Amino acid sequence: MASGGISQRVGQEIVGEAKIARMPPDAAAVHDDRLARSAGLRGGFIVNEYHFAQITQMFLEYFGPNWFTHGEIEVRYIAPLLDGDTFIPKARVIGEEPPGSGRLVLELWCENQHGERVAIGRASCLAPEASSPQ
Amino acid sequence: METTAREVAIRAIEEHFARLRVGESSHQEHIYTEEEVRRYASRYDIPYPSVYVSAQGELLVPPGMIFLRPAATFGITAPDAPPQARLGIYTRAHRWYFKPARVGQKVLFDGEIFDLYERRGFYYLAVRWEAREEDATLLARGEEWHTLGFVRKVASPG
Repeated sequence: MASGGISQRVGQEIVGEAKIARMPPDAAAVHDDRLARSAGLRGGFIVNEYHFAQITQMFLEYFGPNWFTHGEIEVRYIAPLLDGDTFIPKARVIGEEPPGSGRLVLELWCENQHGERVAIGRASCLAPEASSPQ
Repeated sequence: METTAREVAIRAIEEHFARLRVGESSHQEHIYTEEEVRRYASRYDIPYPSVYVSAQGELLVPPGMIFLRPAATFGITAPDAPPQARLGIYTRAHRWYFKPARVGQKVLFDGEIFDLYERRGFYYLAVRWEAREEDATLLARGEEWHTLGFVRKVASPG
């Protein structure tokens, strides 16, 4: 399976578009700044669907349609993303598993404007050149 | 006043948590309309339809929309419940995609609780789900970890 091209991808870093995260006007109570602070949290934070939307967009642009049929993603939310924070999804190709399968494995993380990680995880997908019927 | 609100919320969470059972399940059906999908794209600032079009020209549902909401399904949702006890905080998600869902098609969700636990003052539920077409073709599956509410139980002094 085009292993030459796949091996060249190992070590590649993917950077999604940096965006300013905004709180949807109809967000649930947990995202309300006053209520969240009263519960001892740092503030109302951006819904996780925002993270997923941006991460998915990054992977769809990298993997193409294979993401719809072979994408796998695991995300842990480790720090709040607050209204007005910058959100930047990033990933690095760390290998092919199993070897020769054409499936790339990636380390995944998302940063705010301070370079702090707000989410971390792992993803895998069939490489773009390892075509698959949709 | 804040302490009272916290205590009321904790009590509601603990009562709800005590009623939940591993293996408790839910079946849901959903049709993703074009209006709903475009609202999602606008809300979360992603281009649409952009890459969300099949080779046959059909509009596709962004994969991030396809999941079973743990807290909305098994958590506290009653509008008269303490706001700090409703829904909760997403802590982790693991999802696999097998076939894109088309805008307008019916998607069938089956989910069940596979773990319930308390850690560092938060009550957690973990839910496993599958999303299928009407002919049972698997579209996606996932595992989601979520707190019940967003208020932490504080350990008693001493």
